[in-house]
Amino acid sequence: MAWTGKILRIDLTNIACSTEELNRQWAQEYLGQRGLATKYLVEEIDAKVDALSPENKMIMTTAPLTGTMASTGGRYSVVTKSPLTHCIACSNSGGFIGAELKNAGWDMIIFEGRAPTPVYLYIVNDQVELLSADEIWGTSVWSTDAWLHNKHQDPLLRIAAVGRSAEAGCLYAGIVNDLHRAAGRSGVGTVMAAKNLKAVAVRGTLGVGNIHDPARFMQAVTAGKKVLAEGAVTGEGLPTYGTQVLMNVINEVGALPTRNMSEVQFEGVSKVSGEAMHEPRKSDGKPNLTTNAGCFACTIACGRISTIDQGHFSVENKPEYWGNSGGLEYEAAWALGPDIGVDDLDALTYANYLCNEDGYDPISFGSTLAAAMELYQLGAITKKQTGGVELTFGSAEALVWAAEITATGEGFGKDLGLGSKRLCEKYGHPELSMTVKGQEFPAYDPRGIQGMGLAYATSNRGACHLRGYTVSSEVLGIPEQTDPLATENKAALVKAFQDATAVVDSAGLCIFTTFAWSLEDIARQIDAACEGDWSAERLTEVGERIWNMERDFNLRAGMTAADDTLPKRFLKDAAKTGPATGRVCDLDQMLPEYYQLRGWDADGVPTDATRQRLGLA
Amino acid sequence: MVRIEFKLFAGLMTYLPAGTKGHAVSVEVADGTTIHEVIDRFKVPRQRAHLVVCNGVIMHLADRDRHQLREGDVIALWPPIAGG
Repeated sequence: MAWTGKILRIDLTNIACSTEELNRQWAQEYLGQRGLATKYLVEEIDAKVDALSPENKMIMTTAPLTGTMASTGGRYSVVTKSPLTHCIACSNSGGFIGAELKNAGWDMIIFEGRAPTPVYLYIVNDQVELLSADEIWGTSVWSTDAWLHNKHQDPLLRIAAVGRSAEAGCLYAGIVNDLHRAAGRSGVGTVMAAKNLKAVAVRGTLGVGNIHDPARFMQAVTAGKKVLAEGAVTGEGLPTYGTQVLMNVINEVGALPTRNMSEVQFEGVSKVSGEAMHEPRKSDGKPNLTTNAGCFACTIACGRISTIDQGHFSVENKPEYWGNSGGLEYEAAWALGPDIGVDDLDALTYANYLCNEDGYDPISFGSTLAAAMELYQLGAITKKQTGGVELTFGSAEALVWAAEITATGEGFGKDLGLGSKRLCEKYGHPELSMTVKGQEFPAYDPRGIQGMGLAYATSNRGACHLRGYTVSSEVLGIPEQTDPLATENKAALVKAFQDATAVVDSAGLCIFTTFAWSLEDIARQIDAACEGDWSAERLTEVGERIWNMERDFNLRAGMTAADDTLPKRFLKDAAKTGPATGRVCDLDQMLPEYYQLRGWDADGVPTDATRQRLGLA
Repeated sequence: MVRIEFKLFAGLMTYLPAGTKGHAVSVEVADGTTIHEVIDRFKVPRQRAHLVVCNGVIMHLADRDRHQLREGDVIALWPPIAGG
């Protein structure tokens, strides 16, 4: 069991809610969350559908281990077709709402159509209502959260909402839950806003009691927690330093993309690093970092809670930003810092607050701003477009201004909301867009970490670190060290990471558990929780099936092998500093082998034999 | 003798000499000194030096005994960490 067996279908066009049985056969083949919801999506929509039309669907989905006592078992995902990439979108988030939804008795919610006027979905267990969102349309996520808690007079209500950026059509808007966590990538929030759906508010009190073998599950969960607690990274490294500790590491190994990824090391790195977040400020003696924080059931707790110096120009006379709020994670800090050449920690933190407050992806925003700054440097964008603002690399003032106008979509904020690809096309320099399949890069330069180049090029949602995080092996030595500058054997490494990640994302667990857990550790918990025999081998096969299903959707949507590539900057312009000096990303040395290992033909299409082996025929 | 730069990050910063600003100290070591020997000199427990980088290149355990420090080498150390 572990699945509730119930799906909630919301017909927004007709303001109608219905309940249906979960397809148990699919659950055995695709497990849950990313895999299972994608199966529903690909069966129900035409891959060529306009992502922002009523014909696209959006699925909020949990997994078998969501809401259980398994460590990190609080994850949920949003699956839809992306308006940013026109590929499959699956954005995963922590916090508490995923567990709440499961505790309300639902495996997933399928949203279809478009509401005639703004609405929000209110769920208390099996009581489900679509209610008017007229009063909160045009307000931020944080205002919406406060309004809903006040209206329903329930402090334990869990809320996911879109902000003003999504309403304004920003193509990389996310869905923010529990104020600071987000299904952030690929524009899933833009789809939600296009459906006139402002928020989902959930209260679940039913518990998740339908565990297949409760005693064995408790044993497996306890053993798993022990592994995490005793693991050096999960028991000490992540809770103490958070992901932001990577800033100095990645800079040191010469893979920290800087100024629109034109360089690989940043001179101001020590001012925006995880260590800098611990340093007391001169003004009040307090550090940027207040404490760490954990999501539902998490025994790692890597989250950051921060404050901004009250005297900093970004929050002067704005007391609403003086309190504790969600702090910088590595990817966001990189995009809002080194990639635009800014080393002002408070400015980065403020911009990060705004990304949470109005729901837009800090990675795509920072990367788009970086492209805009390079366009400004070339004279393709001028003060005419910016209204007099100097859009120069290194300007904290420009960052703060850009974050504020992107939050609301005002003026040049509308252009920034296009994302890097469309912005660079609009201003005549598509080659300056650091994107794959239309999605902006995260914080690892593929010249200094070669495997990541292949992972980016072949990712089913465009440039993304969370589809195959080979940094774990190539830099951090987990599970074993590989040479970041080598291309040999990287095809197999990337495939293994991609398949394993797909199944972890489908279990309801956080990918950070894999810094300590093997797939065997995860399989023991799933096998105790769910019907059927779940071994590590079976999980790997499920991951591979999911990967190929996503690939098939993208191919049907119009993507081809020509899209499995990187911006020319990484393929032609060699790194100028660090150990990768003189190197480009040698994608052509890895890609053919990758296709072969995947069982795809030379055009990147899964062969009939591959489809049959995976049950996709 | 050769002069090298020795950098400590995250929780290892407590092993830097008192008064050190930032992450790095400049030190002179005898010709032929290995990375492990300089780690020992700063009293960093070897098992805490999870990630060791020399001039940007990751040093495996064996490398830390094999690599003899040269003039201008930059050594950087981290405890167990991860991210993403």
